[in-house]
Parts: sequence; structure tokens; C-alpha cells
Amino acid sequence: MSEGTKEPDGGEEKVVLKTHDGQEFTVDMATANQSGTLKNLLSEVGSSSNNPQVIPLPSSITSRVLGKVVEYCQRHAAGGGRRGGMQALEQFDEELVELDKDMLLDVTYAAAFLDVPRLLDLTSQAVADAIKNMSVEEVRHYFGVVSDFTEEEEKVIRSECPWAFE
Amino acid sequence: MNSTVGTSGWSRLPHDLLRLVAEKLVRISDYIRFRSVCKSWRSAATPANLRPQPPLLMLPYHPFTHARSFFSLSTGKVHALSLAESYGKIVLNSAHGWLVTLDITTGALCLLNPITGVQIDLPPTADFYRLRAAHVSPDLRNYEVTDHKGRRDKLGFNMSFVVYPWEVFLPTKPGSTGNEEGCLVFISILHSRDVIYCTPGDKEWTTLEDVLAARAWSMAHREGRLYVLDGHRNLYMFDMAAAPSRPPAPLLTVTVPLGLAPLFSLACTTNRELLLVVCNPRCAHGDEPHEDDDDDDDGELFQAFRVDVRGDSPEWSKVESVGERAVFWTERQCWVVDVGDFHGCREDCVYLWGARGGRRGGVHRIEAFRRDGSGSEVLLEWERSPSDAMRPLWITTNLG
Repeated sequence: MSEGTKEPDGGEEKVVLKTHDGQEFTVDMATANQSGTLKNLLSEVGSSSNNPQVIPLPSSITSRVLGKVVEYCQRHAAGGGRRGGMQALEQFDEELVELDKDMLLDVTYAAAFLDVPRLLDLTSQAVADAIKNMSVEEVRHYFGVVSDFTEEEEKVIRSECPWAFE
Repeated sequence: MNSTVGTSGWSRLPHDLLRLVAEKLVRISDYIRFRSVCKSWRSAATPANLRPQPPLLMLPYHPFTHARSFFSLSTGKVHALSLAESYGKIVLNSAHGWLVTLDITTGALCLLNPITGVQIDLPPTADFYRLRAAHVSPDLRNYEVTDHKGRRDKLGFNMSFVVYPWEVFLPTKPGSTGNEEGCLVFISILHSRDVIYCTPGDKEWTTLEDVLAARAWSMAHREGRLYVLDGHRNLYMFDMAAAPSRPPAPLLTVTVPLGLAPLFSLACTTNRELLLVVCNPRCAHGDEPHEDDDDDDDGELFQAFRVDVRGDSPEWSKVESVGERAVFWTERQCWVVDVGDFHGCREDCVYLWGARGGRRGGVHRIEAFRRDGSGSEVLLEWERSPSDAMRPLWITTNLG
């Protein structure tokens, strides 16, 4: 099914994304097709404006998280040809991932689950930017990761490249 | 936001997503720290997935110290590194993230990854010509030399090339366990027309006798073929893929039909082009950039020729631009590197190190020259010191 296909009655095809917490997001096909997962699914089941397909999402994708993903997909479905071209789009991307670490994690999960590669790229870049220049302890503290290295292993790791830990 | 979701979530992030994040880390120091957070993060950031790193210049050093300093183009700073493994050793060459070190007391050769500290011993060098009458002095300040009449003299470590007149080439990448990718180490000895090589792990060196017309000057490796340029500007091609079952004889020998400036070298680019690069440092006067222009018409600092080896005679075509690459050059090295991703590195530029001034005083200088001749920039300048025994070298960093 191609993007933006008009139905005989003139209404654009829509699809409803339903989060676990009960919220519904109605989006057009061009937006939905930004997601590889939805695109595959919809190519099989189809959808229409009168009787839009309702797709339930897993509990990890809350309405707040889905809101972000939908925002991204809508903007990118419109592409760089609108609202200030590629430069504006890049700025939009940059601002979209200015998120706290928990939200960043959840959007990363959602982008992976829904297969939105460029959004996943953005969020993983945001994580990489956040942790660069941090010490190992700072990274662990920031993300609440507990080291599962033994004391011995930790010692060996630190002795390999001691300068990286200074 | 419920913070408990995140706190448990980040250590349980799937392997693929962790790997995506790791691949976004630009600097090796960030990558190493990422690998040190926990086991799952470590397994996601494998040594092989580290992004290519911009070259660092290892600054002049004294062999009997632990400290080595490196100038980073991306930070514009000098970083000191304590390298216990390099004490008493000089670095003969560097490539693919590895240093070829020579222990100037024992004459032993070794490959050393300065980042991981991994060392690979190379076969014994007892057969190689060296200045037998020279020994490191007990106070570790220089060589003591006894001449044929029994007179004693001193020789600075900067004259190590007299004691050990060896050049080492590392045209292929070693793996941390030795011979993963068919790594070959080549050595060229003063006045010798032999090609001597080994694979790390070999018990001894293999010698191809008298295969060159003059001492090997530069080497490059591409798709199983070894290209050697000798001091008489002859180019040879060897099929190393057939070794060791069949000792390689040159498949091709031609004299380079080009007037070569003082510095010339073979280089293999990341997309496997074979280039002959030529540099005339006399055209690189940082102090008076315009003075020589009138009387120096052919004074191009840098030229590159693509070598197309098909059939019996290679074709040479001048390369107008090296594109998104830069050339990194010291006396023994010439790297053509994609710098598109490297912060602080400029494209189509030649990075040169040079020493200026007399025996007393003077400066070292790292300069970047635009290849189109539109200018140069001094990146770092520092005073020469008597302890600067050894010449600088470009090094790259990787984890294996």
C-alpha cells in the first residue's frame, strides 16, 4: 500500500496506535510507514479511514513515549521540503532527543521495537553524547548500572589502559 | 517520570542497542570507559567495532624513560602516556595501531599496541647486521663505541640508525593474537638488497636474497600483493598470498617513470587504491610562504599518483585531489587517511613534522599544508631539547 493513497470517498487512510495505558493516536499512513514494524504489519492487514486498523502496543511504550515517536514520524513523513528544509529538520531532530535519561531509554526501546532506524540513530547518539567525558563511576551512577565485574576483573580492566580512567 | 524504570533498564538494554550506542562513541578513551561499565556493556563494545581513530603524533622521547607524549589533532593537546613496555626501546615504525619497537640493549624486535599494552615478540635478530662495537653506556645516556684502534667514543641515541641500520615495515595489520590476518613484518637492512620478512609467531625470519636493486624504501600491501619501492625508484610486486609454500619472486619490476621529489612513498588508501605520493619539503616554508614562489615553478609540496597495476606495466595517473583524505608524513611513514569523520583533521591536507634550527636550540613543528597550496598552519611548535633523542612518528590507536 503506497503512501498517501486516497480512498474513493476522499478520506485519507488512517491507523490508530493504542498504548497500554489506553491512549489512542490516530496517524496517517505516511506517518505510520516511517516505522518498519507498522509498515510491514499494515501491508498485510491494511487500513482505511472509515474503519482504521487499531494496533495495540506493548506496555513499555507509554503514551508519553509514543507521543515522541509519533512527533518524529509525522515531521519526517513531511520531510525536509516543509517548514524550513533540511536545516530545520536537523534542528527538530536535535531538540526532540533533549530528554532525561529515563525518557531517552524508553524512546530508544520504542524506536527499536517500532523499527524507526533514524530515530534510533538519534537516541543512541544522544546517549553517546551524554556519556562521553564521563568517568566509569559517573556513567554507572548516571544510568544506575551496577558493575558485575569481580574485583579482580575490575583491576585487570583498569590496568590495561590506565590513562583512560584518569 | 518514574525513575525506577530507567535505573533497572539501562543495564538490561539489549545487546544490539548497547552496540549502537558504543558505535557512536568517537574517542577511544570514551570507548574504553564504556567497555568498563559492566559485562554486558563490555560485550557490546568489541575491540573490532571501535571507530577508526585519527592519527596521533608521538613526540620526541628519550628511550630510557617510561613517558611518551602524543599530540592529538582532535583535541589540539599533548597527552602524556606512561608506557612501561617501551622503556629502553625505540620505535622503528608504527602502523595499524601497533608500534614496532627495538630494544637497544638486546636488539630484540617486538610489536606493541600502546593502548592495550599487548606485545608480540618477533624472531631473533642475531643474524642482522648491526654495529657490534656499540653498546648502551652504563648511565643509559648514549652509546659507547669502540673503533678499530680501540678508541672510545660516544654516540647519541638519535644516531641509533647507525648502530641498528634497520627499517621495519608493517604493511598489514597484526591481530592481538599474532597472525590473524596473515600479518607480515618486513625488515630492510642497510646496503642489503634482500627482502626479509616474518609472520608474528615464526621462529625465524625468511630472506628473499638479492631480489631488489637497492634497499627497500617503502612498502604497501593490497589484496595479497606486496608492493616495494626501492631506493633506486624501482617498483616491485610480490605475491605474498603464495608464501610460504612457494617463496615469492617479484611478479613485476619497473622503474618509476616520474621525477621524484626528496620524499616519496607508497600508500594504500582505505578503499584500496595504491598511491605513490611525493613530497618536496623545500616547498613548505612556513616562515616565508611567498618568497620562493617566483623561482620555484615546479615547487609543488605534494603530489600523488594513482598506480594502476594491470598486465605487465603499471599506469600512473596524477591525482588532483586526495578528496576527504589527508596525508600524514614523517620521514619513514606516509599514510593517506580518510579524515571525513575526524574532528580537527582537515581534508586534502598534508600533515608534516619538521625540526628547524641548529644543533643548539631550534624547534619542532607540526604543520598542516593545504594541498592546493593555499596556505599552511602551524599546529604545534615546541623547543628542541637534548633529551629529544628519537624522532616523532605518527601512530594510530586501536584495541586489537
